[in-house]
Amino acid sequence: MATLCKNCGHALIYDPAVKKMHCMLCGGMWAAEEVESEEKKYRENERVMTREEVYGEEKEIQEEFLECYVYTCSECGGEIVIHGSEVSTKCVYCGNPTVVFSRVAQEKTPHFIIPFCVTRDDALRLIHERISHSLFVPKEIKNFKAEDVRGIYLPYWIVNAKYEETCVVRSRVKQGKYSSTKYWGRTGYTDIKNFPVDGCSLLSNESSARLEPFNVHGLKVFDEDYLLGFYSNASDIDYDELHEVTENRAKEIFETEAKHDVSGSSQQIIAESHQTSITNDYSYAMFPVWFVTFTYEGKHNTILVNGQTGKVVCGLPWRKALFWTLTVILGVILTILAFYLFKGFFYAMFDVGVKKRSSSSSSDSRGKIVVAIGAGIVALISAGVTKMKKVLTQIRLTQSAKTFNFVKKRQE
Amino acid sequence: MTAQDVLSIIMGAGVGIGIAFWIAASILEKRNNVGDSHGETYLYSNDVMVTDKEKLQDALHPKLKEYIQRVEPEAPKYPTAPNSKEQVKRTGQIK
Repeated sequence: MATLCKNCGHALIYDPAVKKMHCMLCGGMWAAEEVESEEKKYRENERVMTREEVYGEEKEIQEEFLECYVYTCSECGGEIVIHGSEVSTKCVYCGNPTVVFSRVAQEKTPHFIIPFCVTRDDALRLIHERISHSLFVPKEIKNFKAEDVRGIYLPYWIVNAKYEETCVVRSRVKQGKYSSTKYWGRTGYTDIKNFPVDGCSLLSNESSARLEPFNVHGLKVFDEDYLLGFYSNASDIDYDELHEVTENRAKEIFETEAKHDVSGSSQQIIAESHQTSITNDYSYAMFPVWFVTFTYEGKHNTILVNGQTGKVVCGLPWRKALFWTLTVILGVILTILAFYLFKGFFYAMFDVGVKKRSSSSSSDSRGKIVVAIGAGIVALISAGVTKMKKVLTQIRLTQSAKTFNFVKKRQE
Repeated sequence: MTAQDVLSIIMGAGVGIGIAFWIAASILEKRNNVGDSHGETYLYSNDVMVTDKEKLQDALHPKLKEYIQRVEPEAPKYPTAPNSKEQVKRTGQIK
């Protein structure tokens, strides 16, 4: 049921560029709170026919049928197919933005919403700005053509909680020439406030966590008019998932501080006991995200843009030939330089050793230096591998079929 | 070729390749890994209060203080959205 323009009766949509309801026909603009139509009421849920009612018997689930709900567009009477937990979508017949009030109103009406502040064009511009100067990004991706650009309101739970933990931290403490292992007990708590938990099981928590931070000061009291012109989903996670995500983040915050609080190096938590209590004042809100999809080398990629702050989230494939060529060339140059440095250094060391009649302590020192250099080489390569793993993880999330289907399985 | 030369070549190759790989991986991470971060701690937590500190002789698990009382989580305030596994047919397809 669309909210109509007071001037010409055309359907209104929410325009992030002006932060108002905008009539694309006559140009009229109103704040969402100003627009009150007589039809702004909630419909009863239409009951969906079950398989048994349609077929009259138990039948095997057939691949060609989609799990969906069927609604009727109140403007033109056409059928609208809604997947899973979707709430609002556009009518395929008359093209008007239609909000499925029954899903929003009857089951979970959000308390708050952050309206889109970043427009569609801004989102594309931000993406291009971010990726156009990258050395290892292929040219086809720098000039990619977006297949789908969809603004989707994601459901979020804003949670407050208290986290308590008792843990044992192990560290290496240096005492003169030697180092020893020490154990420290730490007990404490932290209060978590305004922590956003993604309420959509169709989008991975890894992807949604990277969209943070959202500025909760931009929250507005929920008004369904903000949804017009965009897609949205209702929350479909349960309390256990909410608890688990909150607990994991609180644990990370507490244990980072607990490790900093002990002296020594290589701090590691070896035992812990914790408890998380989520307070009853958690709120349900809608947060804006732009999803931009494109195809590269036959693989679908989905770039996310925070619809409030404009933060771009994606992992981009890289030009492997260029990467390894650069590594080899740089490696050869640095090897030559390092060779002459070490040659001078070792000759000086061995000459000193000969002059001092090469005592066992000199041999020990030379051995320690070689071992230290070897450890440094291993550390450099490990650090490089860690960085590459992060890139590969991000690319995996960007090319995730789950995320692509989350965007794609919607009406145009 | 002396032993020092051989050692210099080995060490030099290791350091050279190690640094080159680290530099290339750093550039790759900076440019191809976009937005890999979540909100800062101060946004979600006022402060971490450490209420008890103890230096332990060794990693004795029985020394962990089990004073945290387990609390049963409360029932969710709102019902979850339906996630029915029922297959439905479009009304237009029903004969």
